This record gives sequence, structure tokens and C-alpha cells, in this order.
Amino acid sequence: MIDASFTADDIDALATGTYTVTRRAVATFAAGRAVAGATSTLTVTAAAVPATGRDLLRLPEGRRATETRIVFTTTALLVGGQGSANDADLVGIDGRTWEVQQVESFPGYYRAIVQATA
Amino acid sequence: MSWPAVRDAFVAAIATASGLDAQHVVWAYQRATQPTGPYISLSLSVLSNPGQDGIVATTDLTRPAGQEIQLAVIGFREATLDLEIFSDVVVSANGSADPIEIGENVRAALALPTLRETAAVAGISFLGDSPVQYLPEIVAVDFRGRATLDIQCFVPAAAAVEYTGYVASVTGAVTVHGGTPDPTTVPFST
Repeated sequence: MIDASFTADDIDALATGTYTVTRRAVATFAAGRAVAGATSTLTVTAAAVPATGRDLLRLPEGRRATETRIVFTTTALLVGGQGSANDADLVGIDGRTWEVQQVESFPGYYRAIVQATA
Repeated sequence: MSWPAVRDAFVAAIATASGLDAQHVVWAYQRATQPTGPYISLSLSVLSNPGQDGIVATTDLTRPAGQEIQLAVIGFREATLDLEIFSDVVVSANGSADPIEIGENVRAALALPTLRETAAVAGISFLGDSPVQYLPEIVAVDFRGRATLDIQCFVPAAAAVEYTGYVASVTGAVTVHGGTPDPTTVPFST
């Protein structure tokens, strides 16, 4: 059940900090090899909390053993995909890099599943 | 021949054979978003050595002392190039090819002399192929066309080289006893 009374202001109030997001243009290919796209960074205020077991079930099987967190933010985070102009955003949390796997849009805020890349 | 050059030659050959551009023939398993539109994902598997590698020695006296002779391994490997062909088109129409058609185009084009000659420059020769298998998959709520095609080929063995020295001349002296004067020293040079 989604609590519709949860608002963008609540996100800011419950924020665990500000985080740097690396936004990546989609990779191109040269002689069959991927060439990473240009990157830019932005700073978001967000609440980053551990994921639940139910969150993990929303991911492909091979990804369920990877450390996962949930990020609530008022800034839209991007997930890569075929036809997308961007690869998935990378979020810096606690000195580590986390890749956005899934984003849900709610009125005024976003809920993203992010996974550690290393 | 270096491995990157061999890989480049494979991409060029399959792009030419399929009619797809260079952005749509890619090596598999990379961390990158899939191209849009029809594309072919390549991977190499099953590299076997059907014979025994040989050594070719070449002498170049301009190389540094002790490295005048190059010993290079020559040989070839029998490899399988796996093609996985994707397209949103599941049934060919004029102007849009499904993966079966793309696979068949590749298979037919690999018999063309110009394409084979270009590949041969990189040491690649195509031997044969597997059936084109149509294995469509569901992405979200639609089928996406997917076909596989394995191509057997010869590729050159990886470059392995070492150097050895070239003896240009030997000089010395032989000391002979029992003659006059005794001993006698005779210098020599070759």
C-alpha cells in the first residue's frame, strides 16, 4: 500500500544526505567495442536506506545477491535500456558506487533501487 | 597478427555480410546498453589447435646485438564465431529484415570472394556454419526476433616472439707447443 500522504517535503526531512549522481550518455560502439559516453554529475538530496527482501524479488535472479539499497529522492534518476539516451545513473553512497536498477515515479518523488557495483 | 586486429576483422566481415553498420555489430557481454534496431552480438568460443605450431626464424642484423634473430610462432586455431542476431522485426517485410533473413544474408555473403579476401588479410578463413536457429524471446509484452548462427573459421595463433643472438665473427689465438719458437701463438679470425 502506497502512502499517498508521503510528499517531497518528507523526502527532504528524512534525507540521509546529499549524494553525487553520475549521469552517463549511452555508450557507442567502435569496431564492436563499447565506448563509454560522456558523463556529467549532479547532486541530489536523498534518503538512502537498505532494501528489503521484497525489493530484491523485483530484480532478476542474478542480481539478488548484490548489496542493494533504496534511494528516495525528488530528482528523477535514470535507468538505462535499449533505445535510451542514457546508461543507468551511478550514485555515490558511503564512498561506494551504486548503479540504478529500477525507478518508480510517485507524485513529487522517486523511489530507486540501486546496487553496489563493486 | 594481434587479437584486436582479428576481432576488428570479424566485426568488419560480419557488418559487410549483414549490411548492418558498425554501430550494430558488437561484441557480447560488454557493460553497455544494447543498440537500437537490428543488431548482431558476436562472441568467440571453442578455440582448438588442429595441428602443431611452428617456428619461423628471421635474421635482421640491424636489431640490437644479441637480438638479431627473431623466432616467431606460427600456427592457427579453429574457432567458432557465435552470432546472436536481434531484431524487433519478427517477420521480414520489404525494407525490414527479421533475424532469420539477416542470418541467411550473412551466411550467403561469407562465400563472396571479396569478403573472404578481406578477412584473409587478418588471417581469418571461414570454413562452415551451423543452421540458423530462430529463437524469438519475449521482451516486456512483445516478441523480439532472435536467431543464432555459429560460424567455424580459422584464425591465426597469438603472436609469440623471442630473440636470439647472431654470431658475426669469432677472433682468438691458438697457442701451439713443440714448434720453434715454443710456444707459438697463431691468431685467427672468422
